[in-house]
Amino acid sequence: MEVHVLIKSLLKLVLLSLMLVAILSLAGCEGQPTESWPGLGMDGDTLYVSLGAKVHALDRETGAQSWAFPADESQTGQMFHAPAVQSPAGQVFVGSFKDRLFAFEAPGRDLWSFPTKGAIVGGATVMNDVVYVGCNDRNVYALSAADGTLQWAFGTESWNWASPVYEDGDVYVASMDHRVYRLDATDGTEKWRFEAEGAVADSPVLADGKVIFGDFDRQVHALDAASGAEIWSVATDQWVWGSPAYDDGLVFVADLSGKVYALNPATGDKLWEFKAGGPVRAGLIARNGVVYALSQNGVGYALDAKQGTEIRRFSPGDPQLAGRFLSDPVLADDVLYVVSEKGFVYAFLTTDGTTKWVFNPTSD
Amino acid sequence: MGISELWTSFFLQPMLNSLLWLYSVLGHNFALSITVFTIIVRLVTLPLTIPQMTSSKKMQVLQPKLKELKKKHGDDKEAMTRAQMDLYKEAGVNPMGGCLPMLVQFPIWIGLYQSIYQAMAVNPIQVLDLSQNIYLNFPNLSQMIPLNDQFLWLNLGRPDPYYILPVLVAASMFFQQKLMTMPSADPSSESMTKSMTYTMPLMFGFFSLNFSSGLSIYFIMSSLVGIVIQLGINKVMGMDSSNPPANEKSKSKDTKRPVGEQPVKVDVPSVAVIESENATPAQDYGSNAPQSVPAGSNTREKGKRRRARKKKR
Repeated sequence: MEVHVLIKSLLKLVLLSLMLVAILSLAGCEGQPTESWPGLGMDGDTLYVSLGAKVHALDRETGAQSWAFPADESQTGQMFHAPAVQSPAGQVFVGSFKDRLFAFEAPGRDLWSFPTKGAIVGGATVMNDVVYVGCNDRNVYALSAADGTLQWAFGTESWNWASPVYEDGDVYVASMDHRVYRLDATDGTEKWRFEAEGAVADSPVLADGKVIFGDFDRQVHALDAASGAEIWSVATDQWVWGSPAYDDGLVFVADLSGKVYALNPATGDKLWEFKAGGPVRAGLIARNGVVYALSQNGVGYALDAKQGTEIRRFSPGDPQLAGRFLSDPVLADDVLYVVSEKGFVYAFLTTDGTTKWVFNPTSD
Repeated sequence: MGISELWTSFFLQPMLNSLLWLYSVLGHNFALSITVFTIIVRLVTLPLTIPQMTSSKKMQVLQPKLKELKKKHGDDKEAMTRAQMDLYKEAGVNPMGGCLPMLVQFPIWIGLYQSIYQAMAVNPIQVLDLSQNIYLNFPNLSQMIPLNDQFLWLNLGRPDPYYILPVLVAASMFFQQKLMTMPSADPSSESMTKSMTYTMPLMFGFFSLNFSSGLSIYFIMSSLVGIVIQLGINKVMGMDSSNPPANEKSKSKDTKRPVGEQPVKVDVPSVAVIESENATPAQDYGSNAPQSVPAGSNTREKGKRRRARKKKR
């Protein structure tokens, strides 16, 4: 065969292969995620940001990074939730898509890791030296905080993305199998379960003896915490993903249409609704008569809890650069801490909406 | 409305929601839903697939004749184009006939692929994207999320741990490629075809090592449906890739013949689609053999050929 014919054929083949690779890569066809949204947690004067496959510890006052863990990111895999911290020991627990829960302590010393058979998307909850965490392998685990030994495991029928909620010796587990379970924290015995029509992706809020949560079937439910019986349910416009908030006798919940609702916890009656500029994925914070909601268009809102009117907005200078707001915010001492999809951490002053500091993940 | 929104509204969302609906009626078995969905989409696009495959087959059959014309007209591009068009006309082939149906199908394949990929959301970002594309007014679709990702030994959102699916992807794709291709008279297309037959299946098999199993199932099913359709077309056209037209067999023999040996004279393939009153008469494919002149050729062309033969000698 002539050389030029061969070269021509090879070129065609290479071009075709590149095209195919481009199409398939653009579609992101791999089973493992190539990106995640960051998680933000706080303990004392330290903010913990799980970003990609790394946890960054930041000074809450200045936003300066104290340390980051691990040095080798291939160890951990993508994380989707803020690390849980056990005070005062300062142990940090975080799960990842690498089918493992990691425990380490400042400034980034390995303690132990617990292997699972699925990704860990939700955050861990630490109480009384026990770490509770849900997993995509359809289990909720209780592990010893000291050495990671398994205390008990409770099987569900789908992924578990919500952080378990601990209250008075019990843990409340919301699952993507459409159920919410109440389990005995000591041995994982099931006390009751409630079956909703849609998946429950984030933690419920406990208020006035009720367990309140939203689901993917566009419903908000209130259950009797003692029996698990449904007290009321109310429809929303889109899926409810983030955790509701409770403050001063009102429940606040947001959906992916961008609506924020104020509900009467006794009856489920809607008191007001507010439309944000984009879907609201992140959980809400309600404190001192103000509701804080983050919308995916990169804007945070402070709303009057009684009226639903907008008090002020929090916005990064360049929303394009920052990316969407998907992660739960943290509120402490008149500062609202927000991490954007691309890992920028903003400290917004709640008093006037100005930015106190910004952590740029690309400059660490 | 931008192209991206148009694409999402008119391709991705209808296909994605149809797939979810199938999942809801097929006992929440996502592997089965992918299979049925792929078959349905391939059947719906059959009126586009058949002309494309038929046209491609006809073009392959004409390759020896095109080569003859090329020899005959040498660098006279104008005459070559005219003769080529005459040949296409006689054979009832539209040289662009295979392109349009393929172009129309291309977005459908991509939509099919994307809808399967989206429905199989395994991490929160993917589920969030999915939430924006589900028809909320369609009863119960939101209740399907997340889809049941367990099937046999597979987690459909993850690669096959035993590498069975990647092997099946490569094997089914190889078999389909073999069926689709026929020996070509043009050495460049011949080498290209051969490379594609082996490289594409290997490439997809390799990719499937990292693909989620659900996508591998889609590739396998798509190839299997393609094989069935191709077998049907080959049968209707009286062709078999393992049994190429007579002239191509003789061509391959001819090229292997030792220098100086007399060429074997064979007839033009008697494929129904190119038979007509003006069809090219019997030709000799040996380079040294005398060539018959098709009706309608002018004296200038005859002179050219004579000069070319002299030059060769």
